[in-house]
Amino acid sequence: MSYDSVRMNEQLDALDPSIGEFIGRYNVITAVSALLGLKPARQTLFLFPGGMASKLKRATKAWDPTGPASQVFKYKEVWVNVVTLLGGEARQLRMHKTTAGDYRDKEDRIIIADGVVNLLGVTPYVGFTAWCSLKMIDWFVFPWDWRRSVDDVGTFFLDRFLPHFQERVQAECNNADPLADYSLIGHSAGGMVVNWVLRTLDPLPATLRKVITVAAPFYGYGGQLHRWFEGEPLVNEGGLFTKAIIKTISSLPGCYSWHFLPEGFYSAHQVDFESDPAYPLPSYPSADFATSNPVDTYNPQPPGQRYPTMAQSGFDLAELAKAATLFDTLSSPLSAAQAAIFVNIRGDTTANNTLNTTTWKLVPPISPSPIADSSLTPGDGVQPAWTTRDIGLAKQAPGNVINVFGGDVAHSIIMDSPQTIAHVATVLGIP
Amino acid sequence: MAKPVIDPVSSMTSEAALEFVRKMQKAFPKTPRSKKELAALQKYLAKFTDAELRAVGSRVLSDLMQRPPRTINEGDLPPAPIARPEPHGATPPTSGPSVGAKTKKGTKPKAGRARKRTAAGTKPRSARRRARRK
Repeated sequence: MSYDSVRMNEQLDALDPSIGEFIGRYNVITAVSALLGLKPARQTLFLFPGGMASKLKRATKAWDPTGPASQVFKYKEVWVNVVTLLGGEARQLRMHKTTAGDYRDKEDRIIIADGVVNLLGVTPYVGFTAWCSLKMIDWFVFPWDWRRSVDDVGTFFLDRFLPHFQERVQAECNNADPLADYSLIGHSAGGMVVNWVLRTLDPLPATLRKVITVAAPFYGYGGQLHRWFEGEPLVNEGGLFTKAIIKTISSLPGCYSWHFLPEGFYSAHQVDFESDPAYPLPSYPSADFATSNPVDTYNPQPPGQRYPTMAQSGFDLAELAKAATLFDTLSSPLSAAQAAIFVNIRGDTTANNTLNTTTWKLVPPISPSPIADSSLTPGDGVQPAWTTRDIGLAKQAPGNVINVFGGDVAHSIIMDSPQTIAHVATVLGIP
Repeated sequence: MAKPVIDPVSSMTSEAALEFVRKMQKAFPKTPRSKKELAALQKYLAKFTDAELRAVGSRVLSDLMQRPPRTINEGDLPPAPIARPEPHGATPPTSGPSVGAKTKKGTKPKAGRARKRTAAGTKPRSARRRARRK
């Protein structure tokens, strides 16, 4: 079996306990409803956590290409706990590309997603899932490997996870079909995954009720440009591991899709970006430091003078090109049927302190960073409000773009916000 | 001087959380792996209250999803326009801020359609997979 086959089997196995918990909750609701003489309409809600919010575990030994099909692995958490922050441990997240173009984990030690992160007792989405339980929504948190590209994750979800999930639930819940009425909701980069699923399914299943994004960056944000040059200060260890962390980040295909949108797309849709009532984007968000001319993050000019080289950091122009193609998919025109079930929720903390545009100096040198933030805008503190709605949806179904306001809609806590939850309830028809 | 922003994400600022992490990194320059090293880490963390640790955890998780961690105050950089709409409603557009970037017009979008797929959840699990689980 190939590395990827084994990895995906391992990933599915890791999700089995969570499926078991789903089944447990499902059967409890069934039993309690019967006891009370209720017949609640059942619906399943899959929650895709944000980028970096899924816990990742790494095998303690390498995959053996000459080994048996049923290799047994043990795993240790690699993202994110206190240990991750120490000794440059985050370098273990690095990936490498095979000659066939597949991505493998460092040292061929398989990494899988397993649950939501917990750091020092803090776990996201607790409020949201508690609300789901209270409202007898059959919820499932789908952890995903945010290092991988959105289409990679979406393909696994559709082709491997959903059939397995459906089969197990039917087998253990008196043949109840969990996909008879289901919805997807994605937070932040998780919204990019559900967006990909929506635009990829053809035909749309009649039983797919809604696809909801919350604080999802449809058109990127400035943070990623910094990472190519600065790494991640929380794990750089004061500069000791900066180069290695940058190399690690540059090896992750998923990160190439977090850029600002292609300049051509912006230019072609400038009117739409400008006409966002309160959150206009009047110019391309990335500009040359000296000339103020736009610098396309996907087609940086002049060639060789914007990003680090492959030799310097592993920055992969081929991966950038793939991410541009992926952007085309994620921003392709919506059909009427897609728009009808698509909902974007975006946050505005009203603090007006969300980093917005950037300036970009030519490289070399790549250090100090050639990227600087150049303006602030309304948003959720991480994502500018102009990036968290789909411009096509805003035109086709403006009522499906929902704004939420205040401090409790800050990016990392927006899913637990009472406002967000109230809107999700309305969208899903939950009383 | 801009007013400090009250952030419900955490009572700890990005700077304070980063300082906490840096101190911990200095105290543990190598990744703790052995039981003894992990116990030392536990002992180190036990010096702090649960509330303090949760404040660090909330801020770090937020900043990891964000970008290089620092507190951004209104006024640090030029602002963009503010004219908030109703949750579903539309308000008149406001004039946009100039951040010095010029734009080009007329470029056609790359409007490629998504690769089409069949509906989810209808494919049977492979026989190999079934056999493996038995």
